[in-house]
Amino acid sequence: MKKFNISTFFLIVIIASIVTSCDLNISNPNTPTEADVLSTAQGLKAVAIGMQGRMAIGVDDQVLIPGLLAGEFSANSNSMANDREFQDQMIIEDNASVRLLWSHSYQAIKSANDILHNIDAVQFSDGTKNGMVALAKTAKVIEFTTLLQCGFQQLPVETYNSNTPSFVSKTEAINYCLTLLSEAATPAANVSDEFTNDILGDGFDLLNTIKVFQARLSLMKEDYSAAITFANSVDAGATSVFVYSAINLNPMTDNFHTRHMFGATANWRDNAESGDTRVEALFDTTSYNSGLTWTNPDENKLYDVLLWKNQLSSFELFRYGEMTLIKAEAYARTNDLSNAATQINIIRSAAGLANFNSNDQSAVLQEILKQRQYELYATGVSLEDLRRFGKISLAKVAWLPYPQVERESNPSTPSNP
Amino acid sequence: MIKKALIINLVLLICSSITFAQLNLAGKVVDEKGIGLPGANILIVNTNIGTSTDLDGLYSLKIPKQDGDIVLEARYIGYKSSKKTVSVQDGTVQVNFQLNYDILEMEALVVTGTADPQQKKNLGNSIGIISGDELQNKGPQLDAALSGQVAGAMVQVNSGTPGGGTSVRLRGTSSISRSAEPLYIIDGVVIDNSSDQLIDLGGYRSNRIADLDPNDIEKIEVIKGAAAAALYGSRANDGVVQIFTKKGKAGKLEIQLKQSIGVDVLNSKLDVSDYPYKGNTTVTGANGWTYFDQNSLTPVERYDWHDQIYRKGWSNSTSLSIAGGNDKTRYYFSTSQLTQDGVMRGTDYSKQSFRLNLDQYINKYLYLSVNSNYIHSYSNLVPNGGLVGFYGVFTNIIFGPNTKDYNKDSETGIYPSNGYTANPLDVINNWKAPQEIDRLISGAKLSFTPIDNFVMNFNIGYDTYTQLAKEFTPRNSSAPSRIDGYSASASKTSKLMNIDADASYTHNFTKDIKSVTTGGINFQYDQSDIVTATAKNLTMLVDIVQGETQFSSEYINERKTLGYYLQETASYLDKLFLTGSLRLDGSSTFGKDVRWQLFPKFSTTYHYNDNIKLRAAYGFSGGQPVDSYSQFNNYIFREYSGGAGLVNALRSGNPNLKPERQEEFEIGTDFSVLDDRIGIEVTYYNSKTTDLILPKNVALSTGYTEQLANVGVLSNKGIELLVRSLNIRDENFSWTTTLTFSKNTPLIESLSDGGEFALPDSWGIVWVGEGEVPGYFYGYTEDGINPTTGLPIKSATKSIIGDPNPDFVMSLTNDFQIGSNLSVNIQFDAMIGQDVFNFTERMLQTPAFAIGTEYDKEIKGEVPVGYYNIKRSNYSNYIEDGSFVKLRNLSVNYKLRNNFISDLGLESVNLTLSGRNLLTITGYSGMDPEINVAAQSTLVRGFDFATVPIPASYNFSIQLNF
Repeated sequence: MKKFNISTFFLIVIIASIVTSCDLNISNPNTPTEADVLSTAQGLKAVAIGMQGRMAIGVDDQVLIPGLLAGEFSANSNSMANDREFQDQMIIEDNASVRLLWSHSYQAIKSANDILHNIDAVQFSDGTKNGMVALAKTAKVIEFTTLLQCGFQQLPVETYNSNTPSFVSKTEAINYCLTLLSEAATPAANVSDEFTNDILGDGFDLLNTIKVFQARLSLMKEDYSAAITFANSVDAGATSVFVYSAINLNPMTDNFHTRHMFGATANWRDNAESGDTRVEALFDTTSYNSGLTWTNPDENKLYDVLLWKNQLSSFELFRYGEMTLIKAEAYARTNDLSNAATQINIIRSAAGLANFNSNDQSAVLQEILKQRQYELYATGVSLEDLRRFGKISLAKVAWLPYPQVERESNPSTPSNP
Repeated sequence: MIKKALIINLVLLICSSITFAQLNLAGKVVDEKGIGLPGANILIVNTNIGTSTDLDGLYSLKIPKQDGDIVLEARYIGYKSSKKTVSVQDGTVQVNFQLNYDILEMEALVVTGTADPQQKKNLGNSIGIISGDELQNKGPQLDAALSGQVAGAMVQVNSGTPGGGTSVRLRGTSSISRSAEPLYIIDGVVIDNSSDQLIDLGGYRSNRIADLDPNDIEKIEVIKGAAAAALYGSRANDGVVQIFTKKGKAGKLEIQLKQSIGVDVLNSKLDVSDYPYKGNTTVTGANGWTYFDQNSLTPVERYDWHDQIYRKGWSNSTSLSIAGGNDKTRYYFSTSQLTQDGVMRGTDYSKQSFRLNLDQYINKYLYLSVNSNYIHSYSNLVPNGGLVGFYGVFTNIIFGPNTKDYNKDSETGIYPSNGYTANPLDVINNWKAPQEIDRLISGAKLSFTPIDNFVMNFNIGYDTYTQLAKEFTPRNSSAPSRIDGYSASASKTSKLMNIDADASYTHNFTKDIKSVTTGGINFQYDQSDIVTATAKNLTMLVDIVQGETQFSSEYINERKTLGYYLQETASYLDKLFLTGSLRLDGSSTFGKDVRWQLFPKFSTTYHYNDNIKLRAAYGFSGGQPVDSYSQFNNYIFREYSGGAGLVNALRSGNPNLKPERQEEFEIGTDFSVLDDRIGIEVTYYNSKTTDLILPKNVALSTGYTEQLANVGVLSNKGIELLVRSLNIRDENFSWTTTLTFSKNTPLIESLSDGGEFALPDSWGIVWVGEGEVPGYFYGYTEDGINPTTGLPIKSATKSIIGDPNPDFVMSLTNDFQIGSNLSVNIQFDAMIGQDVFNFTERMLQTPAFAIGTEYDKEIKGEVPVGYYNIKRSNYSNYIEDGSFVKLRNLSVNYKLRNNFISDLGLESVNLTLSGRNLLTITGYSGMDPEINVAAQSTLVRGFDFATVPIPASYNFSIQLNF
């Protein structure tokens, strides 16, 4: 029996040693853990940087989809079937571009939420914290605004840690964004050098971006006095851009030049007023033909877009001329036509065009739309402009379907418009 | 009980020394023909008392006078044991035994899937056993050892490249996303059998079980599903193959030296056009494709490149083993060296292996067994394209018109480019793709038997290897996208450790009811680290990864699995056996709330009589996903504006992910008829794997796109049959026939969101879908011929066009023993009813390449222009019945034993001539219906695309036995 006891003892020792040496809680050595990322200053700063990177490389669909729907661009047979669906007015529910658009936007929104929901528990200097909060809120607004401009009637906005977020109307989404922007404005004015140098991307003008989006969203909300106030508050000539590098290339270059999948629709260019200097800057004057024979005759009438010719060229989040045209539109819509004309003519004279004058409100609005189409060409606002100016019937499709993947997993998804 | 047994022994001893009354037992043990069996064991049941028979099969045994009946048992290896009750207490008694041949190896001790060693006849589940004898004279790879021997096992070699992989499927494929290869254990060491192709060269994926030297194998045990393998818990969904290597025997020094030489010969060729004309001008069709004009032909020279890319592949191998020992210490040492040239020029394989197995009986209670195996292999491969890359020899033969002279320019020394793919001769002669393995597998087992009915085992196993792979394309190569050169280097270091402890207690409740209780604990730790680097625009004159564009990455995978088990086996009258077990398994792969999974098992056997056994088993097992970190939300690197940023990976973590879970029921019978001349094993099984691990879409608004989840159900049902017949058994001639047959019916019962999807790396051709067989071929079919144009009509929609799963698999092996020295083995394998996608033929009919004879019809004007351009998009045209019968093995072995040999100090000399894959009977039009470009892929099967066919192998060996 003694041996039996000894052996039992050994068995217990061996089992105990195996069990204690075996901690089944492992972590992934290939990537930082979620806990480390969200609970350290280093981690949250990296999320803020990665969020901007995500936004920068996702701009293509944000510009292409409204552009294809509004008729700014056309896709030729080099392009993917899912992009041709927009111009062919046959958008299937699991259109890959719509899926990617959502995926890219909501990945950036998740990053913003990661920052906003965890920053209080992490030690940052006040200026750095201010900057990150303002940047995260602004990023959310940019993404939501972009999705609205692409033609979604409703959007989920409170998505943090929810698998089935509810959708809100466009108006509610605009109000939500304006609240975020007003919350962002104060901290954005008081940021540290650490934030500006280490976190904020080169060329990104946070304060002016906030004001631009406040002006744009106020206009969408039809709050014209606010639109004018915000537009006036933007520094003259302000720019804000996403920048690219050898690792992150400007995706527009690939779409419009390297792979020649898209070009400017002929009508869009040809309808320009003669003498408009913006035309030469935006469009190649001859139709391009890269040696391929198109079966669709319209494809021969696409014009090269002269933007983003270099993969390192930056992407403009807005053009300053938008502020002038927002003011013009706000005046026009409140029937202050002379002030409207003043603003219009600032734009026209810069484009080498003679002054415009009219006492007809609808003619003034028509002129504003036309100026927007060239002044803001390929900035993603074209579809929303058609809607605001009552010309949505000119668009290929008025509203986009929600991604099928969202519907399958999120029962709150509304039925397609 | 322990005390009681001791007392009885003591009493017996005392009795024998005090009284001189004795029982004299004597007799003869003979086989079924009445011939004496030398060395048979005679035992008194439930004691340690026994003896063995002499050369004539005679024995005698003197024991003290008995108080009651005793039971005497005769045992002889390969024969069924026999028991006789002796009721005489005193004096002399004659007890003779006639033993029957154990045709189904029912008496073999089995350890796989049972917590303690049990005889096969007492198991409730079916088990495949391959003993060393059956491994003799087969090919140099493990697949040869396994194929045709086990019902329910489908063994496939995927290409004719030496050192290439073997896929083994036990009772079908039980997963979609995981590897479906069984768990391999060698001498208690759980080994890594991954098949990482560090650099994808096309169809070369090899699995690591190929490293083992089959000469070292003593025995293989195969269990096929959850019902048998529940004790292996979350590692056992694909079954378990346990390999035992040779050990030394006491008192006898055995030295074997074996030298063999072999040659591989390709016995099939592509059907390449030699029509001396081609279309001169091109015309453009409606859809932008260009065709040859039938009305304007020009003479052209056609080339057949077979002889420049293929050759005879010579091989030679040398192996030496030394085995011996004494009562306390036994050893087995072996070393082998193999070099083999592939049938494709530029490919070769060499392997060196060393093994040392030591067994030490430390004292009455302790037994230690240590084994270690070092393996080094080195192979040169040539890139072969495959499903991922396009730069390969065979691929480029198929992708290039055979009107181009690929020979090197005699002045510049440059191989001409065809403008879109690489020049195959350039690839063979200038590109390099070596692979190297360094591997050490070692294990130790300590058994502690403090008392007769209690044993404890402590086992540790460690398998570690480094795998290196390189690919190098020099500057100025003929491949347009690699004109400035391309270089890649990858390494994998892998560690796998298992520690096991168990204890087993045997207890007789009554004389008739016996019980064995076993409990144990297993711990397994796996880790692998893969580093990859590539470079383009290479530095001049060096062939390392150095150049302008460099890229590198590293990935570490780590996993810990801890399991506890408890098993109780009870038997009544040695006729009825009941086994129940529970295994509790925890794996680091899964989140803490779902980590622990319970896998129960129940099995029973009933011996109707000595010849008929009925059995049934029911159990559960699990399968773990390939990636260890699916439970976590991961963040990945994203640079922005010079800063190092992070974004969440698009696949979200799933802390509720569980192992794939298999539930299996099997029922069967093993019986022998005609005085044990014919043995039959039949098993029906029904397994269902639920919680299949697959990516599932998530709401995009979460910031993620998908998540691994438990979302599918896959079932396999089937019948296995093994028939072994001793047709003739004479002193001078014996003939044994073994037939294995298995029929498996797989079905995907449900899938994520009821959908269907194309499997990765299958060019969108191989699909899984709910309610369908796994891995079906999907594509357009041909809707007849347009009567106006004479062109084929492409169907409007895609549909299921083929099923790569065979209806049944069958093997027929005949073994002849002629005289005492000559033996012959003939094995035929058949696989019937599976479809093969002859993608190779489809490429040969492609107008741009047009190298197949079939396409000549278009040039000759027998079919209208554009005919093959439409035909080739109707994939159903290239789905063929891949049924085949192959003469898998034919070997003749002669054992030389004479005075001359003995004078040289030799016991015998074995001469063996063998051939593998000598003959294929098939209606398949391609080169070989067995090849698969996706190699070990779980469900991409039967995909014939530019893969080296399996050659016929001839081998001659001389083995000197000292």
